[in-house]
Amino acid sequence: MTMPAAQTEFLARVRDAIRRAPAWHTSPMIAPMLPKGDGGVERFATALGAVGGKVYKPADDAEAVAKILEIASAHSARRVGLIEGLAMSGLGIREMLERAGIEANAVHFQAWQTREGSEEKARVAIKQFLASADMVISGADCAIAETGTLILLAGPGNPRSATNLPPVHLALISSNQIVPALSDAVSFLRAAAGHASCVTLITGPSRTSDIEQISTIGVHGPGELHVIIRN
Amino acid sequence: MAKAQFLERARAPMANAQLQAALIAATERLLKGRENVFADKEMYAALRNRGRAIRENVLDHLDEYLNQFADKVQSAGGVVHWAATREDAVRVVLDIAKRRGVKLAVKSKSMVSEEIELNHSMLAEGIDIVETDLGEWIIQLAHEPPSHLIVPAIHHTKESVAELFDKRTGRSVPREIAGLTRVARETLREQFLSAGMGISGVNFGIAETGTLTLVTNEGNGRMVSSLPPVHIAIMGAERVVPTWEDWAVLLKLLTGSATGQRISTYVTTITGPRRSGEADGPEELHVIILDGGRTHVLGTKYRESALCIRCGACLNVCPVYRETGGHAYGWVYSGPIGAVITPLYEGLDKYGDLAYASSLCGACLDACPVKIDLPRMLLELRHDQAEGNGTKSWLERLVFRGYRIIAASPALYRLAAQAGKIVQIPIARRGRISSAPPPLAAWTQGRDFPALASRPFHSRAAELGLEEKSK
Repeated sequence: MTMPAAQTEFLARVRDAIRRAPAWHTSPMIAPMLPKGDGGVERFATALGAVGGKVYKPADDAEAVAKILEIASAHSARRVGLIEGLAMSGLGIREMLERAGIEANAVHFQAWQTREGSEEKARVAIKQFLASADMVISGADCAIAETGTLILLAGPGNPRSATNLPPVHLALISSNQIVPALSDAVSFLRAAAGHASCVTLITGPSRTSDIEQISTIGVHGPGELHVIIRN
Repeated sequence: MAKAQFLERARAPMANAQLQAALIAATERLLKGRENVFADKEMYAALRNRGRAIRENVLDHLDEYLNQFADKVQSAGGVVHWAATREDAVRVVLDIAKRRGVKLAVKSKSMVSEEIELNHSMLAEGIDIVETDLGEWIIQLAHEPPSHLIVPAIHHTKESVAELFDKRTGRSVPREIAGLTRVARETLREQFLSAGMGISGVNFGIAETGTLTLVTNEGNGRMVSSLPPVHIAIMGAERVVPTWEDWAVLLKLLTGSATGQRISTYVTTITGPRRSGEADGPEELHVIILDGGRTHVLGTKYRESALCIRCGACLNVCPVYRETGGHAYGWVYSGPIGAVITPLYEGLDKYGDLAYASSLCGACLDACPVKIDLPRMLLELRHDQAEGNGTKSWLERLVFRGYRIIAASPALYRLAAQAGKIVQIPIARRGRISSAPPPLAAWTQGRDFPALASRPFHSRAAELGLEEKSK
């Protein structure tokens, strides 16, 4: 089991010589993408609906934006955290929310560092912001039809706790991000482990049945999960 | 002697009507969910075979997979601690807590942490440790051990929970479940945000990438691994899996068997501490790999007990567990799996009677997602005790020795049956014996004994068209 000393020293010499950068800085992650219109959207919506998630399929961008605003208003959201995501681009979500008088902040670590002046201050500020946010809007890196699951990679623009602290989580995904089953996402997950310190699979709102077997939502994580699927 | 302990502990729960109803409701709910998820029998059979093969392979090569796992955890920036004993594991946690000056630790549900009695040791050192799974928090407030692998506070009602929360918060909390859940959210939220350390178990450790997986529905597993500056994950050495493919199979079997979910709400996969450029996640990630008696079992006829993925399905189907609940088993693990591993880990002399807390009906074997033959091991444990000294009474030995002589000879057997029919005359009524004289009285306290038939089966064999064979 233990390597011979010669092998250990040899490999250490190679590692020292390479001086490789940490693996997660090498390239962006590419998630599997499926052709549109294979029925994945319907299966995703049914599976997520069955565990209490809400799914919307807006016909166009204008409808998607209107839906976001509608959900934010329904919860009288004053503070919204934004996480960068593929399916969020081009919608002008931040501007739209700000026009509606809602404080919308992207929780990108580097931007907060610049603003706050130090890493430590930025960490504290982001934590406080997320703990007091009414809602978080994110993308997803992949989704699974069979179970209605979102897969999110943590990173500079997506703190681990960003989709766990606020009471409402709204995610935008693109229909071609939905793979049929968990087994289809396995090689993506394996690769993702090299890129992100934390990968989270989210299937519905936070839930417990610990008191008298009654299913109750929103115990520690978000009590509501909304998913908007863009075509 | 040991025999009386399980029965003693079972008495109170069996007289508790609320608990009896809750046990039935909970186990039925979990079983129904499991049936739904695995409705496709063919698929389930294939998944189960695959799961068994994966777990067998893990145990066959456990040293190699553990080594690979530890290497990968370390190259991702985590620190691995090898704990041969429970005391070793506790010491690692305490050392880190002291070095970091931790005053408060938050913990997500972990059976291994119960095994090492971590809370007790932390509190003894003046470090506060708070359970954050709602069920675990309830029983921590009540100073009780868990009574079910998956639903630890199965024995509590909303009224008893409300009383505990009143005491904890110093105010009068709502008496309905949604309100109580809100109280838990608010109270524990403060703890998550201020804790100096997060502690969790590990459902599976993936060797090929050094990834830890936590499975929760509440989101507390995410909190303890993202907010505090230190995360300590304690893993039973057998919980390693080779690849992500293997992980996907076992994850399905785990959540389907445990709670009847296709997947749990949150599956958190962690590879190393936070990396540069990340706003949260712990600065330090420690993985404690615990032996704690596991390797001792691996080379024995009890090896397959280490295949267990801690889903709790065997508890839900067990006719004994469903009557007694978990506390009767006396240690951390209950139900059929508890009846097997408790005497193995804690001593046959102390917990040998658990091997008799079973009707050997085999429902646990049928329910197990990795086909652990629990009835066989329960019999082996009984055998080991019978072979050991002094665990059986001289009377029982005498009876069985006599039975062996009589049953080996057709003539003696017939004679004994005739004698038995005469002896039973004063106590048999309508083919049943409802109260037998000592030492059989204990048996008939809770059930009838069938009386010997007026005509024995072997004398009817000819008219039933069966051939009577004798050696």
